[in-house]
Amino acid sequence: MRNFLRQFSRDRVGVVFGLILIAIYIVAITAQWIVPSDPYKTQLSQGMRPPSWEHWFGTDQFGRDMLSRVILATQVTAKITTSALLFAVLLGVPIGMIVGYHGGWLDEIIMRITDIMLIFPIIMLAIVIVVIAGPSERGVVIALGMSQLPQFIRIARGVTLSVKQELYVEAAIAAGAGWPFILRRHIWPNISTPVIVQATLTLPVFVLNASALSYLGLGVQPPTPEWGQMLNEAKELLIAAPYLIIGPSVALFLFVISANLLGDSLQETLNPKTKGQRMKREFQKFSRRGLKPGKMRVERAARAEIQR
Amino acid sequence: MTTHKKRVARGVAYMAAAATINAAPLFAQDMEPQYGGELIYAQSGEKFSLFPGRNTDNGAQDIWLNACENLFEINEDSELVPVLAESWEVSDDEKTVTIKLREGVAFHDGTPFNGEAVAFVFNEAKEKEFIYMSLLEGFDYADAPSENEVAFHLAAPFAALLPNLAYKPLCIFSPTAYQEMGEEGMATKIVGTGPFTHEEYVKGEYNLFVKNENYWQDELPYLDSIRMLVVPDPATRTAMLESGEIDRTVQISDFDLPRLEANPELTVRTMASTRQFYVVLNHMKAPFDNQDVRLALNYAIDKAGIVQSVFAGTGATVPMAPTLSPGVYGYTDMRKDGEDSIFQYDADKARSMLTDAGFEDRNGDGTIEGEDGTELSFKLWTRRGGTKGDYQVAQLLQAFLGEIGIGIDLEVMEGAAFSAAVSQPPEDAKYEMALLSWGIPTADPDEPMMYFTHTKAWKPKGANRMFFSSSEIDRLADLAHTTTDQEKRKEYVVAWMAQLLEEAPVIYLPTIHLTLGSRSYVHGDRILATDNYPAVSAWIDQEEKARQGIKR
Repeated sequence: MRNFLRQFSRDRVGVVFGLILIAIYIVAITAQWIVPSDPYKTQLSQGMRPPSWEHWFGTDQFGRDMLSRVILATQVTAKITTSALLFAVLLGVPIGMIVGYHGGWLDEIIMRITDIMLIFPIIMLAIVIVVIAGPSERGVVIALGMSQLPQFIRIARGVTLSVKQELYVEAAIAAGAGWPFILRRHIWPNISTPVIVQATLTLPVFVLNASALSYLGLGVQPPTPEWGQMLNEAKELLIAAPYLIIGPSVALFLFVISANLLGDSLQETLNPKTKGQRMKREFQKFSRRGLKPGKMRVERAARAEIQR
Repeated sequence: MTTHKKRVARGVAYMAAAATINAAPLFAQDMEPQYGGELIYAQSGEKFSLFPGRNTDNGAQDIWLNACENLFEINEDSELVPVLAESWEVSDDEKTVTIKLREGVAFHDGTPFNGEAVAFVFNEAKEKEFIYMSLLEGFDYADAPSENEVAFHLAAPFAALLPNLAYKPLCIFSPTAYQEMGEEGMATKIVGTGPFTHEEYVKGEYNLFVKNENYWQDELPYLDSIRMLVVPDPATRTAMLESGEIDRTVQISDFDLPRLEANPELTVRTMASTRQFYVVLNHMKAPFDNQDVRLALNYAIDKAGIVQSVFAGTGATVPMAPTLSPGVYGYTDMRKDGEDSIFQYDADKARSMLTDAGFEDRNGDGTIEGEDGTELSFKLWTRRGGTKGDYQVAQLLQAFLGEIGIGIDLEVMEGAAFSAAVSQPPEDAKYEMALLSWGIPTADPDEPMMYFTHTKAWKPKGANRMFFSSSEIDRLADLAHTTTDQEKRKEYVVAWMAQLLEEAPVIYLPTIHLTLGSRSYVHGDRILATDNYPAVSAWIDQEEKARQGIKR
């Protein structure tokens, strides 16, 4: 752990954006207590006021304070995306481990199902699920969780398949250990790292898709504020009150970029092996395009390419 | 016969007075009309049916009126003018109205338009219970005394027959096409006598109408075709108009108007209308059968606040009478002295009325409960962008009702699904509350009285989606429907409105002004007092269009 912290602290980008992400979560957790005014309170006489000391992001059409709404929306988004992540991890990882360990027809079936799910773009899958589950917070959580479930199943299964063949697993089997014990004691420790990395990288995807769903009117329903939904409402008044888009877009941008960059840093720190492999792959891609490898700058460009 | 004319003339005089904010000259009269070109008109929502017998949606009327015409029309000056009719006569006992029809008119399928065809349409309407039948209450049957005459036989005389015949859903479609395709076929293809033939229907995208070369008015229409697009988002429609992707649109946001007005390439109009928002309360579901609850809900809504924040203070007016708006015959300001609207906003009064009716917050969770402990918590169905400001009004309703402790969940629905869902009979109607708007295209109170609040107009027949039933309301409506004494009729209308204020079948909300925009090169188009847009005499100034850099 200390080793990890020392290594991680050298990655300045990771530290800075990690701190921002922590700050966002603190805002989310304490939202009720730190909002400057009631985010639900309509004051029709105060509608569409531009930013001022009183209202940093202005007020919306109904005179609600945009800053307060952005802050509460942070909580809503954090809650939804974290729940969706837990849903995907807690369901996906055990399934992946079990089918990976046992193999056979169950493995075949589950893998084909995940293949089918992977065919569809996340947002499309999510829309279908939300339409079935109904537009609500719960619906969005299920939709997002389900849409990324295959990723976690595949990661857990992949690691399980390779670890299963290690000598210490065979030794455990020989010693008469049951499969639940082996999964818990010998396989899980190997899985936790890639799962944590994958989870951090999935977080920004969830944030963006949750907002996209709300933007389409399929997510969180009014009066609960959500960034995507606020952007949609601001869009209708884009010319009359352009300042309405500032708050939600800045918040969305910060959340997504910090989660993304943190995930990237974690991946490099926690898993030098993958880093090397990925870099090598990217290098090959770049050399094919006629770029010369070997320079750090190229490395960064490659990394940027992956993120795109 | 004279009574008819006089009454219509009076009704329309009000309408004309109300339309004074109608700005901008409609015609460039010194210019010669030009032939050719396609007019692209973007509307807000998909229609679940284009068959006039099953849909009275105002936007759908704008689509089918290109192909299907009525016997009469209420024109932009609010006068009743004959279209497919030429003249009419009323028998001495006022029970037979004989209408002489225009000769030499043919339907798009080539079959002749004659007395038989007109009689068929109305007899079929009665037999199959077309949605508008409550407007023809008292109509017995129709027949054709000669090739070019149709006679309406009435069981009881009724004054509003002719203006009601001008209501767009009562247009004359081809009986032959109807018998071949059935109602389902007509839902996507309209065959009438109109200036344009319905060529293409693409669900959720557009309807294409092409010039009818055999149109009975020589030299008309000027346009080669009209394309009616479905664009649900008002901001997108406005942007399309500004960029010249479309030639005309409706339901523009009031906040965009100042900007559009400043653009010399656009013509923007604001018109007074009879379109009033209201919330349907399903009386089949408790507690909406409770009059005190309905009254309390009415007092809980800040109508002036809605006008201010959703319609920029200028795009709507607070309701001054239930259902009727200025311009409708018999309209009377029903506000109490010194109040700004009917059911003037008073949240405290609403709360105490609910408490008196046995609804209060018993468990301290902020939502009020009835005596049996059931929470007052409802789903409010709404569309988004169907009528300008609908979604915003719904959000404010949620906030206002929340203030008095009533929980509201919004359910935003797509246009066609919404229309279908609020057109169900009482046993199938799933909604508790739904936000709709209501207009009176005939400018005559007969329509709301017979079609909106009458027990006989329960969905799926009329537009009584509340399943509201009041013997007094029905009695006053029937009296007004059958009397030919105009003074008496007006008395009944006022009594009817007073009774509505007692019983509050719906939540009354502001009346909107229509906001329409078109490119400045579109000339000769008309906007009827009934909010309809016939493009029969519209034409495009090609030179000006090219100058504005619009190539399509």
